Amino acid sequence: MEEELKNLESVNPEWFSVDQKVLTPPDNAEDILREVPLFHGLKGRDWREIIKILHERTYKKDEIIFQEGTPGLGMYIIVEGSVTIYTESEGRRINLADFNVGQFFGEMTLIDNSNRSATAIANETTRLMAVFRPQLEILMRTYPRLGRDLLLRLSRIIVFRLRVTNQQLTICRTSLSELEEQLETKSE
Amino acid sequence: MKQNQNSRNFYRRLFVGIIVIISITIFGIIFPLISDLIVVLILTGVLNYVYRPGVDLLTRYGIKRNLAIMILYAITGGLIYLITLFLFPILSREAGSFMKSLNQVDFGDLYRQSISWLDNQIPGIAKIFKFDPGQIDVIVERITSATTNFLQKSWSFVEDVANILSLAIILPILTFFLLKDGHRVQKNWMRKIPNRYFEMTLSLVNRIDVQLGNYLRSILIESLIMWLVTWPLFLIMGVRFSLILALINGLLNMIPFFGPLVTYVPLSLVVIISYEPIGWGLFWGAVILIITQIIDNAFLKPVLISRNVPVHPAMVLIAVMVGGRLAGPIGMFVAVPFYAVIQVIVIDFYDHLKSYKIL
Repeated sequence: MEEELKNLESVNPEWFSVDQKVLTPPDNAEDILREVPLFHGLKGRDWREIIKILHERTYKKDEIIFQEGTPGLGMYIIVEGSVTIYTESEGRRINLADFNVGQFFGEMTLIDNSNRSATAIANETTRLMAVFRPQLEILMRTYPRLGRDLLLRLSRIIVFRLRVTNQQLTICRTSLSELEEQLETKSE
Repeated sequence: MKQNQNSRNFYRRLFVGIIVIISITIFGIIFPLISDLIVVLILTGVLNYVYRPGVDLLTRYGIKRNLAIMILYAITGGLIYLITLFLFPILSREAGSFMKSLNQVDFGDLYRQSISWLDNQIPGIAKIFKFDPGQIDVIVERITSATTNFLQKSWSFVEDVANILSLAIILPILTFFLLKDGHRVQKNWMRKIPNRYFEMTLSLVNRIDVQLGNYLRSILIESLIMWLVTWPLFLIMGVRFSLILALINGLLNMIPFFGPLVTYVPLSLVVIISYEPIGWGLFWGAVILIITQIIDNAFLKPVLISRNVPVHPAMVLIAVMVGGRLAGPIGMFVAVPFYAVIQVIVIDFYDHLKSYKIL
């Protein structure tokens, strides 16, 4: 895990793929979904209930999937194609992350209802499976055991992001204190 | 900043007002053409919202959805059987007895007695206001014919819908499929929404679904509680036909502001035909209605209605009038909830268009 974290020192903590595995088409959509950490290992009725709330969407090249500043509603899993996450600052586009088949993004909006912090755009014809907070909430209420399981999985993903954030914060602090020391030495 | 906020509120209200008026106008035009279909769909929707929490609850305990729906249907069937067995005879006896007593009242005589009593108390008032005892028969006849026409409109409306038996078969079947496959129907519809509007539509549909469900369940529970609260109060007062009067109060409670006032009309009639002394009867009747309104507004509404659906009193009046014109007393009952539902949908629609940067 420590090794894995070291590799993520330079990524954006909110927009990197937690599951680094990149699958290659023509993987079966269901196989891809089963590899997503949120659904990994679910079987029987639990799996059938998850399938019921998944929405399949196809986006053309350069089509916006969601826009920065709009309410965040759910998580997307790439079944085919690729997606870029970017933000705009003073009219300049800053790419934050790229996602490929088997990877997912936007899972934090399954927990809170804050606005999207970046825009997602399809780089080519892209097929996505999406799960949305309102329907996930209903599922959690109807099947509390499955709900607890899903919440635990979501918490693990978010904890992983938190650890990356902490790692980056530590690096920043260390760099800052080094800079301060250098400044003090220079001023002396 | 404040000016911006005010201007945003103004446009929001303007948008909501225009859409609500357009929706009601379209509904008013379409309704008479396909009233039977619309009523079946509305009733199916209402039943779906009433049953869904129960079905979800049973599903939580591992019972399959189909079986859960059947269990709830069996419970409903049992309740209807018990009501038919115990409550219906009391209600029909009370209604029959009430109509019989009403027919025996000589309103002309009652009017003349009241005027002469009033004239004794304030000499000359009958002359000043030109009370003509001869007119009372004409007035009573006019009121009777207007009421009969009004009730006939509702009855012919019920006949148009289908006969009660076919409705009793169609409704449970439609509701069964909606409860069982509702999510599948919604998912199939969502496929047709363009990508740009997809998230917004999904969020909007879910929000309206929750709001509508909560609102409809709340007013039904509120009416039931109001019926059960008013009944013992009428019993204590000693007024006849207490069960029917309490039921009327519970149902009319769906109409804000004016419902309790309308309840006072049949209550006054009952007091006039069967209560001594009439003055005290009218007074205690009013007190009971005020008490029930206080209970409703202070305890029931804040707890039951999760999101306040403020409907302007003027709109209540207009909605009730339009509802009455379209479908008689039934229309009057459903007018305000229907208006409130449209209002909730339009407000949410506008807010979503704004937050998804489409407007």
